[in-house]
Amino acid sequence: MTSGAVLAVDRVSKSFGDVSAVEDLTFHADPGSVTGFLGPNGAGKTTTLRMLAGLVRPSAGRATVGGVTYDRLTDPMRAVGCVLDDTGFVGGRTARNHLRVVATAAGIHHDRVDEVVELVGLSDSADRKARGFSLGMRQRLHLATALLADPRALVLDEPANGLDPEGIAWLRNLLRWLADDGRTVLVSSHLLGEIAQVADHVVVLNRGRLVRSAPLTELLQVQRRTVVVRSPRSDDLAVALGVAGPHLQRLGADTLEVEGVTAAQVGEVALRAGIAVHELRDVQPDLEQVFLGLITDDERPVP
Amino acid sequence: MIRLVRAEFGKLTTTRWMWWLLVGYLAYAGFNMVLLILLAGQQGVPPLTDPDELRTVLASTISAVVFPLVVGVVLLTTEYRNRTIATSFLVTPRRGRVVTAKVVVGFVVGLLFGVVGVAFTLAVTAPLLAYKDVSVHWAGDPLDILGGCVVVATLYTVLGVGLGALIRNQVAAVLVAVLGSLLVDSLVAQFLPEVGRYWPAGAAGSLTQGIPSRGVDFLPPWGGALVLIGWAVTLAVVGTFTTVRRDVT
Repeated sequence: MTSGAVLAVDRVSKSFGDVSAVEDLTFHADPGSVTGFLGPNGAGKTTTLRMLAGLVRPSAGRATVGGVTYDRLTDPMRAVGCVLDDTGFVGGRTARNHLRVVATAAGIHHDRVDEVVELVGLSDSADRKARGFSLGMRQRLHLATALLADPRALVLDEPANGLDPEGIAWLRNLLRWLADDGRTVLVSSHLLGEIAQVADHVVVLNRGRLVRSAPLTELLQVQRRTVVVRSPRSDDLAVALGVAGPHLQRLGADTLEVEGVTAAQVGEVALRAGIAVHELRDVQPDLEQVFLGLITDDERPVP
Repeated sequence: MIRLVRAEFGKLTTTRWMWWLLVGYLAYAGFNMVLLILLAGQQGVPPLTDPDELRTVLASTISAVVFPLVVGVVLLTTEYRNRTIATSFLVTPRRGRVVTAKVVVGFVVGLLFGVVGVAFTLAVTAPLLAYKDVSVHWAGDPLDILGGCVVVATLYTVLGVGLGALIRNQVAAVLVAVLGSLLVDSLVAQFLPEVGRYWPAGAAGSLTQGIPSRGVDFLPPWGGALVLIGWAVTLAVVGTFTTVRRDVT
């Protein structure tokens, strides 16, 4: 097990000139879990993560790793590994040499380079120049760099960008494994669906401000549960169910969407009323709807 | 710090750009040496027996000093251009240490340029001078000049690192280095000699008594070296506390 380092953002604000990127933001990511950092493009996610990594200086507040700001970390690479979008590689340098340079600067034995190359699945391309790398391979190389010192926490900015579905599944497993081993994992995305399968906790950001910080399960309970039922006697079924108004929606000539009941309940009612049912299913909570709901609620003007 | 310097050398030896600049440096200086020797004694150009003229020939690498200067500039600005600077600062959040490591590497690389440049100068000029029947007493003045060339190449590279710390846009920094050393520097040296001797070109002149030597009241060689060190350190320190501290977005 690895003892993780808490990533904390404490009343942080950042403005670039007149443009406010982050406003009075507070949240933290705990060891042993994956924290999803969500928000639409331009919400301030990248700026926040870069403040944690010490690349951007907050205008106010503190962003800390294990209680200290990045520039005070004695062994920063061991404390937190960062995969930040659009950091580059020298095109003419091979992946292995890139990792060796970083390892030398960080005082890490070069044997570890071969380990991380293996870990991220770059063994076959490690001696190729980074110039020819696909976006997915570059993401893997970023990840290898972040994992070089076996860090206690990980900060990842949109790491799924450029990965194919297989790569995304692989990434989810890796993040799960890193968190289960005790590390802190903070991963940003603009798609809830992308990280819902791996995140334990979700922090939602919009226009630089915190919208919600909650366990994923709690966030999904917000979603109204509905059942879709198709029947040739849909009108009779609606009467039998005793629902109307906002709780009942007609999706087609013979299809209803009913809120506040389960599929099992609808089936029982239909059986007792002797109504044939051609289709009956629970509607899975739509993650993007949950996410968009949070964002639009946030943007609704205060009366 | 030692591992940081080693990492910086790693960055340098895993790419090739420095070697191209070394080739450019030697080619440009070599072209000047050959031209100066061939033109000497013709159409009002003083003959090679004139000590000033011989100095100019032997200090030909000074005319190409923009190359080591640009090497220094690129050492730092390439990290912004390739966006590897974020990784460098993630490994070493105390950014002044990154600049310091680059300064050390600049010093060593500059020394390499200087020594290779002098070896090249000897290889080109010695046979040509012999062919022209010019006898040279190498142990005296020429040795001082060649030594001065090594010092100038070394300190100009460090100066370049300082310039790169101040101006992080590579194109802008290289442009300033090229125009500054080829145009501004020599204009100041020519028209404002009192100020010019405290400029890099004037300081370089005092170390080599090469270009521009005639009629210019140079500092003593050690003074010239101090002036170059002063420029390099000032630019690096100012750059570290201004440009280098800025957000990396």
